[in-house]
Amino acid sequence: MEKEKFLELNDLYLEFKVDKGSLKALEGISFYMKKGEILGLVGESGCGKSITALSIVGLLPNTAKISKGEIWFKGETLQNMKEENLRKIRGKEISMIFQEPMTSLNPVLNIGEQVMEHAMLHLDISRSEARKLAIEMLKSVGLSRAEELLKEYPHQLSGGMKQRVMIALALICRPELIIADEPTTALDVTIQAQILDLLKKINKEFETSILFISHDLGVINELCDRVLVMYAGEIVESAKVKDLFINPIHPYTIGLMDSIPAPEKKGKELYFIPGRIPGLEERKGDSCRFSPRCPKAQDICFKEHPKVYDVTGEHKAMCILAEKEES
Amino acid sequence: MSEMKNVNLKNAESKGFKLRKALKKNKSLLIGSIIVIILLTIMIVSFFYTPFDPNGMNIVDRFKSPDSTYIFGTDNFGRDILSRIMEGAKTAFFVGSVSVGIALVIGGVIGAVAGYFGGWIDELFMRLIDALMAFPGILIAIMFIAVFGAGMVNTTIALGIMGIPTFARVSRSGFIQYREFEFVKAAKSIGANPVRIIAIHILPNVISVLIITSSIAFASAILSESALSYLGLGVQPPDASWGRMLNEAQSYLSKAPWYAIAPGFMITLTVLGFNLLGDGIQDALDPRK
Repeated sequence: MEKEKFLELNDLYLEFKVDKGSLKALEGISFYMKKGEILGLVGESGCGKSITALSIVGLLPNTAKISKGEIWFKGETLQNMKEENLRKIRGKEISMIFQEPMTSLNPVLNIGEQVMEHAMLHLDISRSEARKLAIEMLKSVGLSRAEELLKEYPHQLSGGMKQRVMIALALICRPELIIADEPTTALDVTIQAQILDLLKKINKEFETSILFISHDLGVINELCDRVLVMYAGEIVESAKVKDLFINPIHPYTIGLMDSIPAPEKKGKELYFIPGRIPGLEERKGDSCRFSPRCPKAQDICFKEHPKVYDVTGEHKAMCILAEKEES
Repeated sequence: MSEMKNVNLKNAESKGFKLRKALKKNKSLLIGSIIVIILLTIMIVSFFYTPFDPNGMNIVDRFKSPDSTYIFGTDNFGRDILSRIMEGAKTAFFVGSVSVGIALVIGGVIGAVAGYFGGWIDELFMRLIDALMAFPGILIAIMFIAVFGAGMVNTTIALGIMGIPTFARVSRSGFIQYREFEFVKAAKSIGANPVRIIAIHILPNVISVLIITSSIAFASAILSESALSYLGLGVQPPDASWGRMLNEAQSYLSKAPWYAIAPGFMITLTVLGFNLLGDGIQDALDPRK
């Protein structure tokens, strides 16, 4: 059964205004999400993952502007929507979970006020109903002392608990889409695994779609159905997670995979991709962005911007190497 | 469950303990709050009891030096100075709290809006505040009084307007600092509107600096009221005001020096008390100490 494409980004360009003009941060981002799927978005720091997420909910910094392209959510375009209409969607239909649970909760408000505020903002319910719902939600994300927690302040909670509270906050209005921006980066590994399990459970139980942003392909492999690999403001490869791990095409994807620490690599030096991601002002349109760092770069890579090749079905790659794989 | 209760009890105990410890270490907070509490008591008592009628004249008892009947002596009309000092405390607290209230609300809101939204709104509001700041405070107050007439209420409003720039700047800097915080972004991401974010999410974080500023502004408002009343622009006779009393006492400085001493001492004490309190709160809230 083909599920509807309920979120679709179509050829999105985003610019940052600077003194001398503008810098392109996203160039031609296109992807879609099906209902109930977990989509991974992976890439190095500075490649545009978070800004892609923020552009969906319209929370871009003042200096950033979408210059071209469309964002479709359930048959409506979001990029030109009025602020007050967007506010109704934010939190109700699309929720976000942020990277830093330590600072994402307001230090001077107790947990109850913050969770209940959210519920009362979007659902037409009374304070006592909101309280009940908040307790229920906190319990469902695995926080046992829910009633007492409502009266506690963020500094009394551990990092993992705070992230659970953030997830409860994101879930309380039963949104259809959760955008999780590196939700496990600031947590230690055991807590990370628990949070991932929780997200999986939520995805199954409530049929919530999750856009999961991470720089860790290992985590993506664990959680996601499909994955997009981003590099320097472009999506360079997209595929089902299984396909991507069996047959990665783009050398950048391969590099990312090689740099996942694994038991069988014990004793050997861990691989890393040499060089660094080009800054916004260094990006040129007439060559492959990854070519200076690419171990398989050919002459043509420096002369021509590669086009997107279809490898198989949903597997696409923006690399000349995909040409011979194309079916 | 009983364990939980114990923990809570301990927390409550340690809170009281912490306060005592803070007061012991923080001398300005201790002395400041003692002075302010004494002044508040005097002010409250004056509503129910003054030794004599503060405006009641008694020609026979003119210029009595301090004795057991008139603790601070009497003035040129034979009015009891202690009673007038107590009555003056009411004036001082009225002028102080209402003018600080005006400045806090208007300045705070201007600063919040300017700081939170930034951009041209910020530019516009802050240039207006700069323009207001360019005039010396007393001059604005005198201009205002010249237009609307002297009297306690007008003085209070004038002093309130004078205080707006300080509060606007303090509140703006707080809001600029907090608007970039992750939890503000999180609040936006759940669809909270700007009014909610300003009032519920950022304000509680900024309120401590505003309280400190209020305490110090309170002292300077009382001082300015005294100055204006001394110049004859503030509180009008026969109402008692410390500055007014100083003005009247000036003519009899050699004949009845005690007349000037009492109000002068009260002004000094009040200003000292509120400044110490402000400093003390600042130290107590400073995480580096």
